Amino acid sequence: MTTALIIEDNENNLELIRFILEQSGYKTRFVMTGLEGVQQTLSIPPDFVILDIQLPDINGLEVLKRIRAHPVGKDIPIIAMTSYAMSGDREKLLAAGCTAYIEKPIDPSLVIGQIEEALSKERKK
Amino acid sequence: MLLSFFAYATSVPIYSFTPKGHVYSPIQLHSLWVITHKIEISVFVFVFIVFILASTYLSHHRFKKRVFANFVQLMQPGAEPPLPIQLPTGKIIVISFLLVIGCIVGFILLITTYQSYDNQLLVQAMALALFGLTMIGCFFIGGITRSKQLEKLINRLQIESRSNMLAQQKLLEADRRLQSQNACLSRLASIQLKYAASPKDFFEQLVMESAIALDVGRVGIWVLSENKQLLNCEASYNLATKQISSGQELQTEHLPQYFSALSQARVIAINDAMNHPATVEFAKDYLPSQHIGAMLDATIWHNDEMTGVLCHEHIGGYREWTMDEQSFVGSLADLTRLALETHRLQMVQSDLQHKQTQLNKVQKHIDSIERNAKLFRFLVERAPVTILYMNTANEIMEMNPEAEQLSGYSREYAIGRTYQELFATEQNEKQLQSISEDVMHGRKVQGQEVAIRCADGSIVELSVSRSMELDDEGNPVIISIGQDMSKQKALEASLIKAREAAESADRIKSMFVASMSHELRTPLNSIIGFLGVVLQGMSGELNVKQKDQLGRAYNSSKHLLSLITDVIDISKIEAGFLQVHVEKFDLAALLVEVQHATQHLVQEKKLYLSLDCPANLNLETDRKRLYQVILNVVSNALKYSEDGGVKLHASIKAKQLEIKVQDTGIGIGEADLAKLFKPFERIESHLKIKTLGTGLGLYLTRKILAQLLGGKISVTSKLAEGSTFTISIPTKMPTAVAQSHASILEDAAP
Repeated sequence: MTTALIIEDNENNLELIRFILEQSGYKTRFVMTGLEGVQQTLSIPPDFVILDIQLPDINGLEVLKRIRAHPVGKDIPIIAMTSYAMSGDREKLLAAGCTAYIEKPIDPSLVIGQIEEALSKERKK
Repeated sequence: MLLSFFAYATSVPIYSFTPKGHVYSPIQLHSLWVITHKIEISVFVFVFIVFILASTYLSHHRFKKRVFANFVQLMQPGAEPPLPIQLPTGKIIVISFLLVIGCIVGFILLITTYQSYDNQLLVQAMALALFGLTMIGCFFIGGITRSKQLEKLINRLQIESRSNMLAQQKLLEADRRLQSQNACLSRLASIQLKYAASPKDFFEQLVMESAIALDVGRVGIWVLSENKQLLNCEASYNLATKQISSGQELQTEHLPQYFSALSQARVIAINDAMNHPATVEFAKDYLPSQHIGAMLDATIWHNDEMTGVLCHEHIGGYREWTMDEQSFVGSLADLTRLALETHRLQMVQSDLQHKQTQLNKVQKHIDSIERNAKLFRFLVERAPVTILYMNTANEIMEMNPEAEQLSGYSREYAIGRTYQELFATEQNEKQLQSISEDVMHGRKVQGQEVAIRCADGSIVELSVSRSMELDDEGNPVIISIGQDMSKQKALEASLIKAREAAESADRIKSMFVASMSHELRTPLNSIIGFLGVVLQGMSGELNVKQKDQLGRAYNSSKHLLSLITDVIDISKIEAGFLQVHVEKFDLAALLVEVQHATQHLVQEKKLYLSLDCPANLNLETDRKRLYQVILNVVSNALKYSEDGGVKLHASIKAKQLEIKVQDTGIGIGEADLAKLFKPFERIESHLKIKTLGTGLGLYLTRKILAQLLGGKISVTSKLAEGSTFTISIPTKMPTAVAQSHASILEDAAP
């Protein structure tokens, strides 16, 4: 069973993405801070990470950089998920090693497709 | 015959009165007597004498007639006086006198001797005839004598009348001359002032008038040069050729006699130039070559010094200059002098004026210098910097009040002491040394910070600027200007503080805007997300009513999200917070994305969306913003179209990308076109637009284009026919506009 680690500080959003993923048969774990996210990802590496950008301690970009800086976290697919952002955020995240980028609000009917597309792309590499 | 008559006339008395004892040749006497004794011969002689006397008388009568004719002519007024008559009377009188004597003698002889003659009657007749002849002769002599007296009288009359007439003529001539001279003088005098500015013109007029008035061949005005070496011709008129010339020169040293003559008289009248001592120097070539016979020169004087000569040259021979001509020429010379003096006066006047204006200028200059000096003193005294003048030995020569105040040394104390002596400390000694060396080598010291010691021992930090300059007399002076850095530093600190405050306020605002964008949307995201989950039946089936109601909530949430997004975008643009992110991309791909994004709308309304874009259209601008703009316009076009569709056409004109979005929608009325790009203005239409817009779409679109992409949007439309929106932006964004973009990632960082 594929395991996803969700790093998201907003309970409602966390519940939403968790629900959608579990509905689609994914196993989920979650943390609500950036530092925990880095630690969890590196200590018990999940199959992929859903990463919110706006976090209370360190922001998503920093989390991404720290995970990618570690040999364990080098190849874990990380899908960034954030509110409609300013131009340039997307590029920064992709440049820092983000696998895919999903804009909020997420569409429940499309989000699984988007995630699976990203994962399959990662697998092909 | 005459001789025989004489012999006869004389022989009788000779014979008769010959004293006894004196004997003439008897033959001689006898023959004479024989001849005269004949009566016939005597008659003949008598008739002859009468004839002579008659012819003489007749000739005298003719002469008398002539005399009278002359007299008559003389008496006629205005007639030419006749020439005096010379009478040939002397001989006639002598002959007549002799004849009369002869007759008397003959008569006496006949009377005394008539008794001895045979024919006494004849002798008596003869005597009577002789007496008659004597009478006639006497009468004749008397007539001639009277005629002679008359002649003398007439001749005297003639001479007198002639001389009278000549005198009268001379008087008339003189009068005419005087008149013309006077007219000429008055004319010249009247124009003299008019020509004050150009005496040359006046001189030309003068020489011409004078030549005509005096009937002189050439008239010239000659003026001595300043050094008296040259005599320059100012104007010369030739009466024959009627030409005016000037510019000739005469060297005075060649004409000593002429000049000495000129210097002694006002007017020299030279009737015979060839033989006059004054013009003897001209006699060799000048006078003969010019055919000058007489000269009339008038000298022109100024302050007891001869300055020129007005020269009249008579072409031809001798000419006697009349007194009036001489005085006329003198007057002309006076006029010339007057003209010269007027001109000189005017020159002096204009020179004076010129000097006055120059003086005024100089005065103004002096005034301005004084003002500047005053201003300069004021500046030095009031300047909030220390100003020191020093000599090359660094001895203070002058200092301003600020320097006194700052250093605590009085001006009197400081003057004469060296800079080092007053301000040096152990710490700044080397620095001061190097500054003064730099200045001595001609380098300028600019804003060096030096901590100097004041009178009370305190240390003040100064920013010192020092240079070597030259004073009025060309001596080197060192000017040292110091600025109290403590004030400056305090100011800097306060400025930094103010800037920091402003910056933090700005950061707070930016943070607020950035957080807003996130904080407002985060709850909405979960609302929309969960509504979506429920609506899609992921957490169980819904009945129709529930589905409808949840659908309305879902749409409203989405509407709220886009409203918030638009408002935040607008506020960011207005705050200058939203910046561009320039990248290179292909337009066709971007348009395809737009097509994908609007696919559901196209399908739902059964419209079409056609793309017309040239391949490889590379742009260098903010991709995301351009996408936002095009998507906005295309969505609008689709929303307002009920059937037909939307055509998207891209082209490049002069480095401008032009995208036309043409729809077949309801169109926009002219009144509404103006409202189109204003916020929260929605066009009233009969269509019930199901998808509600935010009312901010076109407003935001135009803001993005104008303020971020350097482009613009325009629209043409016709009601019920559709609208065409034209977006144009530069294909390559100017670097000034392209700045590093602000990011939520950086702004949100704690």
